[in-house]
Amino acid sequence: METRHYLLPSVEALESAEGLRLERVIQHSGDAVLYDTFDGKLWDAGALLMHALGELRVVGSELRAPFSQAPDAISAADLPSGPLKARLEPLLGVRSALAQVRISGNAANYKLLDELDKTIARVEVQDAAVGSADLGVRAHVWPLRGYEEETDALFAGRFQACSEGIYAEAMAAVGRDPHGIRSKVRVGLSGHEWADGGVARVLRALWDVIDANREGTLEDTDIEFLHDYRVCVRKSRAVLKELRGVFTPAARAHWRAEFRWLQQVTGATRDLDVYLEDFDELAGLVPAQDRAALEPLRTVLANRRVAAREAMVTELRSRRAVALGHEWPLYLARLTEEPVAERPDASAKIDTVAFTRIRKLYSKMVKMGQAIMEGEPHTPAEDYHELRKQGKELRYLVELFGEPLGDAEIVKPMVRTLKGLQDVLGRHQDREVQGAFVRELVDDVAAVEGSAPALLAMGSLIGALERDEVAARAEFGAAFTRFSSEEQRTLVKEAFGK
Amino acid sequence: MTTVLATYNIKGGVGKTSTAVNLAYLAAQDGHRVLLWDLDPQAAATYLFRVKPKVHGGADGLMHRRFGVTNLVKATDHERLDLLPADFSYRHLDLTLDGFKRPTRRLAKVLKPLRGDYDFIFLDCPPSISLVSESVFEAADALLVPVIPATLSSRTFAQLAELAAGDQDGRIGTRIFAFFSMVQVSKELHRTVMARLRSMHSVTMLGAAIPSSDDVEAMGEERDPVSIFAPDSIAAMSYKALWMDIQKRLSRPGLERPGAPA
Repeated sequence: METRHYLLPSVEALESAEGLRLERVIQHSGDAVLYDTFDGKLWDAGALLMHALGELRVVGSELRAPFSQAPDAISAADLPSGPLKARLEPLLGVRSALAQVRISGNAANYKLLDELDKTIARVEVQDAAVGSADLGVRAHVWPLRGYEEETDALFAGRFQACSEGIYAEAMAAVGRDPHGIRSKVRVGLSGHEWADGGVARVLRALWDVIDANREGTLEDTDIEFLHDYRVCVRKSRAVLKELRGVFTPAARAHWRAEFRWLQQVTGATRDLDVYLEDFDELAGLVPAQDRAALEPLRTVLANRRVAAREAMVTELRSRRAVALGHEWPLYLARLTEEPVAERPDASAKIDTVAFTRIRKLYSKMVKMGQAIMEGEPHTPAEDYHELRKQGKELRYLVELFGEPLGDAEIVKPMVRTLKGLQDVLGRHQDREVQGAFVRELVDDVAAVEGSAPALLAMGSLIGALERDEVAARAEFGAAFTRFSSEEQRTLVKEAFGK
Repeated sequence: MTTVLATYNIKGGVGKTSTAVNLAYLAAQDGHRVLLWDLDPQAAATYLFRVKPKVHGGADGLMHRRFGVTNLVKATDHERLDLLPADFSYRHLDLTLDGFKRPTRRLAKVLKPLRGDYDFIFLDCPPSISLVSESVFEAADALLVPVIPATLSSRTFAQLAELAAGDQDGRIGTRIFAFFSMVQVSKELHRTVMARLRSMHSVTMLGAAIPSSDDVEAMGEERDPVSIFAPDSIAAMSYKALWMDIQKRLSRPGLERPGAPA
């Protein structure tokens, strides 16, 4: 339900308004802490979490649960069982809700009643401040389903409507975007700008996300920080690789090496995060009676993760990482001043450069896919992997440059088909790597006392992974046929034929 | 997937509405998205939720799907529990349905757009055997039938058994869960009738029963489900037990209707 916001001269002005039947539910003074995930999932779902008066509640609803302290982070596992948890758990997933801002002041919640004493809207009034910033008095009004018109008629003309509520203002007061920070970077680009300037802005936006996710990665706040960190590192690498002509060869080689290193030092931890996160799903591949026997494998994975994280944290705090974080933004800021003679695409328009590369990448993938089809059933797994890597780079270029510069109506279906192919390739590659990794862990598990059943179950798991890899390979043909179809080629030509 | 449950009995005053209201509330409390459609022109469920008994376009507009059923839904005061209110024009619902080519399928068609929005839809039916009730049987996954353990309930039972036997093909259709309602355990007659009916196997008789209770009667005054104003009462506990029993039954696959040819 869309929230209505109103500016009030005072709390009394609301309570004394003629014709408004308000029943006060709760009133409190003091601090309230707002929580959301780093990527603003709760805000976007209209389910912002608040801690005040020893309880948690979902703003704009009657969902509440006792919770004595207001910690820095709350995961789904921390929430007490009940309707509040039922609402938030699917939104949080593996993410934690983090304390975003502390609001001080007075707040009151009301029910707006009709003549039958039926609640038709929930109203919350805040007379609040964030630090020294006075946010004024605002009412948030949530009409109940079927009572929107009645509620609006009671408030309209009486109070001044405003576009943002006090929570958005509170977030702004501490410099936070309520929608959070996401790995899906969108930079507004114009086809008229020079390629190097546009590329620098995109890379800078990617770096901002990497940098913002650094602390959560180091602190292990939740596993999505590292995931988003790595996604943006990978996207930066794709831009450096594919749009080569906007960089000098020496600078490009240097930064590609630096980002490859960042990707490498974070890889093992991420892989183990995924294994542990997907453990139950992987275990689901073996017969039900063998699943419990796999538990020693989970322990080995968890132990390995501890070691991998320690190594990763050391690297991310190293002099090399600090230097990268300092020098990369400086380099991007002066990219357009680098010698043009060594940068053939520097003076080209951004859409020309990006679209040409997208077209070429697409054609390259079609050729690679055809070779895979012709080589079956003896095509090496590595060929599939290479095609998947190219697919990722194409996807990133389309997302970062194709979508803001191209026709969204044409680009979207093209991306859907690419995603379909990537899903099949991803499953194929994952099963291949997972099988190899489980084999690698056999010695570790064997060292655990009484691990014989676990080893047998691991054998069964390896078999299941191999079968699923074969199944994914069988699905490749259909997904690739769609990707390389005449219709798709036409779409690519229409969208990026400039 | 949405499960449609209808509280039904040919007789009035057996506890249909209080059952629908209390069970719908408990389902919402469990975290499910719930809709209650008050099909009874007396609008008792609508009254209990303090909603005006008025539907834009009336029964005719609703059945002809003129205004979009999703726009007619009203939130109750309880999280995740919505109401499609009663309207006085529902007293002519039979006539309205009769104007359709396949009248008994109409209710299910009207409900279709709401299915994605809710985990459970409760239909609170008026006491009758009519096109409305036939439409309800068609739309519902299960009928919840309150039975007062008095002398005449044997007659109700016989009718239920007939209903449960289904069509001649013996296809699995609407499941029927009967339960004792307004029970006075101090009455010898109630105890005797309950023991006798429980020994019959022509209809699924749920274990949980709802007592005759001042707390259930007080719902009209409090205008809330029992669990809100008397959470520790025997009535509230009984509705909880009934809801648990129903959920357990729903999680099992339906059985062949009794009396169906092998």
